[in-house]
Amino acid sequence: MKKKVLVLLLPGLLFLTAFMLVPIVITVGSTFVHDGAFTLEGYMHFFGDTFFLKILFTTLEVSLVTTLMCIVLGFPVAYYISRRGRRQKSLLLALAIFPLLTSSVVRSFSWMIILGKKGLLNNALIALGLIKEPMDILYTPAAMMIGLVHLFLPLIIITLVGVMENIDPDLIKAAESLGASRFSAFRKVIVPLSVPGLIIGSILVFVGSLTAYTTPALLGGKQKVISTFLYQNAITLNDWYSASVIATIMMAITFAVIAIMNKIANTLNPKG
Amino acid sequence: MSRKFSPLGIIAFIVVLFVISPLLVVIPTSLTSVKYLSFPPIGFSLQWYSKIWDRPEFVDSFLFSLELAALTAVIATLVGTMSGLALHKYRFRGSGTVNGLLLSPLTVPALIIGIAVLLFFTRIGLAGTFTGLLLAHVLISVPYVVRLVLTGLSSFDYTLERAAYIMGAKPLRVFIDITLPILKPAVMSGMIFAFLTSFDNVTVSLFLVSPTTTTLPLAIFSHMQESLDPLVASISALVILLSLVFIIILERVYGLDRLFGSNSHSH
Repeated sequence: MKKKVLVLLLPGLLFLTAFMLVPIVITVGSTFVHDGAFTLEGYMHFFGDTFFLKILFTTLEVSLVTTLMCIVLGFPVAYYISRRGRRQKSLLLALAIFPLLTSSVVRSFSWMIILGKKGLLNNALIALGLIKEPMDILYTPAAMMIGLVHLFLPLIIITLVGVMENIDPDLIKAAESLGASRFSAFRKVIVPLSVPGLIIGSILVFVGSLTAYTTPALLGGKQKVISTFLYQNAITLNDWYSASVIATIMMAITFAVIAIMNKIANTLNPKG
Repeated sequence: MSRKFSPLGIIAFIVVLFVISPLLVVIPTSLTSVKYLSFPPIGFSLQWYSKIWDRPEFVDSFLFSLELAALTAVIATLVGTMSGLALHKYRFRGSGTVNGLLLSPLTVPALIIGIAVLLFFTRIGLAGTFTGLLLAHVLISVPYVVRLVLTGLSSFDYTLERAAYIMGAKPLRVFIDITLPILKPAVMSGMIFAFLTSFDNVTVSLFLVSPTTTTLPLAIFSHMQESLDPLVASISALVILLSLVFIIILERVYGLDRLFGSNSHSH
């Protein structure tokens, strides 16, 4: 039996070790070594650089706003979908999932059509007489955030639908028959029971926004975020040491966010 | 609950529209007769579709991406299915760690995988080669296959296999006649998912392509950074149609709600 497991697992294990674990350990490790000695110089350089700190701060801000927007938009939709009949539910879920399986380049491009100077939004606002001159939305941080919300909204919707489906509808009926209004039944029953899904969904969206490259690069214009800054250092400037340091910082933030959110989940729901 | 126009229903309608409408604007835009992007589109023509064929960089990168994605799908499915089977069937020490390692490309941001793999491949001489790109694409596709196989096996009853052994069947027979039919939907969806993961990838490819190995998403990406014309719309429309075909197959083979159900989202 033991031999069989090894034979089945060996290709996967070797593959992941050789092309995932080893490259990442080398990349992270190399940031702490300079001329054969341990150093934190690279990190001190970046954390002392206001230009980098500004990029980092903007990235965190964009990711936070994106996450909050996804929760606000995704929550009611997920609740609506989870209470539909089987056929309607599959149709709505398929619509929500469709963009998820489409290239992020194509999705960014579709926002360029909508947000551009001669785009759908500007033309509609002019036709309605709300504005006279087309607005500059494309290539701004706002366009980047719209693109990111669009990119990650399906993720939070599916995660929440998964959790909400398992909430016993009798619980809501019970709350309502005990005199709770529909809204307060929603607030006191559905919201607390959806917290695990909300946390998983938020991690996916936050980390996704923090590390997304295509959308900020195409929609954000001159606004740099940490991912585009990393790419610039690695490919345009060929400064692999700085790129490795930025990658390590990015990874540390990613894991810290996951750890903190899991901690919150465990505190809220110890049996979880 | 069943009122036709509940406020919740209206919000849901608007949000779902927000999710799908960007993709819907691409097709009308691709049919425009003018040289710039505008919506609503002006005039009607198919010129932007015929112009794709005059641009070898798009045709070549499309064929290249198809080849890369197909190879990735085959290798990732093989490796992922073997690992998934082993993880589900046998309890052994360290199986949690192995599971974590196999699924790690889902947690580590793709951009970091890209740079780390580039630095590593430069050392061993694989940077900018087809092999390097293929290996990286397999790497990011394996976890999806593993996860789908694990979900597909979650209700598998091993007494079926044991019964076959008792009846005297050889291990290979047992695998082909018992295990494989049950695994088929999961393996097929895994393969489609691996294909799409490779075909759509930008972030990892970004670091590993060379002038002779450019994928379609990257060709579109670099074209978009230089000029925005309806040509991008016609190519995007074709990419959307291709995704749609695969989504329909996935829905038929596996069921989208099962594919994205909360159970398969361990992270």
